[in-house]
Amino acid sequence: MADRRATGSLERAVLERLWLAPEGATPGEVRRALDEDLAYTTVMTILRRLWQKGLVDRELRGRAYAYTAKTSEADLAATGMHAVFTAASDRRAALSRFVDGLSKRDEQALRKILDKTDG
Amino acid sequence: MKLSLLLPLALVLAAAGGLGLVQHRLRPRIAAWALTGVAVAGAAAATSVLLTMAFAFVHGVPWFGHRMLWCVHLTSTAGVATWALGAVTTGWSVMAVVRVRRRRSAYRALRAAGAQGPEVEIVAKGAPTAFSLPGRPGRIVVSESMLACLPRAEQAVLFAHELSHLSHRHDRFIHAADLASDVFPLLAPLASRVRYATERWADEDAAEAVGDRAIAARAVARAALAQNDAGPRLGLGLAGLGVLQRVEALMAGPPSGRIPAATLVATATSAIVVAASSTLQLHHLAMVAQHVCRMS
Repeated sequence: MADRRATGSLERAVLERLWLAPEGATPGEVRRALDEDLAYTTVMTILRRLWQKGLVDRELRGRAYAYTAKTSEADLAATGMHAVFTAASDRRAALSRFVDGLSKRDEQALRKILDKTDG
Repeated sequence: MKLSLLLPLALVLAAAGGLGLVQHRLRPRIAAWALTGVAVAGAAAATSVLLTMAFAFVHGVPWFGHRMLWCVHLTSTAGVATWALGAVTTGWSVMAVVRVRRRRSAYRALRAAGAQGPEVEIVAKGAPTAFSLPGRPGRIVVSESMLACLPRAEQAVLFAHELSHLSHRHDRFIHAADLASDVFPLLAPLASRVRYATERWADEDAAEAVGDRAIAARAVARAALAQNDAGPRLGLGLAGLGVLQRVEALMAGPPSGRIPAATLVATATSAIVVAASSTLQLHHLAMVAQHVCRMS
């Protein structure tokens, strides 16, 4: 479990490097840019996994692949949010929404209130 | 079954009903504390009933030779009744354990989501929505489409409301009441009331932050309609504890400066109930201890 989370945050760190390199980066370049001291094969594995997930593109550059990010940060956030939403609606978890759902009658009453006060 | 066994539970349920009647006249902060306190006391009382039932069952099973003499004072069964008691006890315990575990893992997941990422996140895609994720430091998530629906002053209401949830740790109130209702499902209405009380609490804080109750009321109304237009969804709470009541409460004017009688009564009642039910449970525990000591 801890292992999986660690991999997830590494993937995230690698993606962040790729966002900063719009022209693409090879595993070696990504490895040098990362703060953490990682083996070349680790970085290569993470990049390949990202590619398999469809999050990055790659093209052969010399003898190595150069990787470019396909998704932006906002896209990734939206995916994460989607998971949170699903969990929340499944389990009624302790999530505080600003506003909850409305019944038909409440909806009409609220429209009336807004019409009156906005005028 | 002796009345004294069920008395704590009966007290709690009576207090819950009473609090429900006066909730709209209480300050949200006090309502949240009182309701959560009563819910937790209810869960404790229910657990003690469950334990006594389990002991009574063990006592009633012939090959245990009636070792649990102390609980004959509270409940005694024989024959078929013993096995019925065993079935109910087992079913209740399994249900409680499963529900509590599920709730806790959902809460952990939510807190994990709140612990990572920016403290305020504006999501570019999706329908109008806004919510906060508990944890440290916690996280406020708002969609661009929601912000687009609200004038600037009302956006401030939204953020102040969610900040209030995070800084007063409202998730803990809600989680405690939810867990209580997982142990004893009759407490579920109490959990909805706690949820509503925290929403009202955050609304009052937001109104104070922007210094205008009417703007706060309009923000809540407009956000609810925007969310509803994008895809109607049923509310989670009880009828009469929804967005409309929150808007009306904001428009009705600030809570008065002096402490209303209802608050005093509610606080006193909750305190008495919590004290009374824990005393009775201590009494039961003392009986267990006494009996165990005599046996050894």
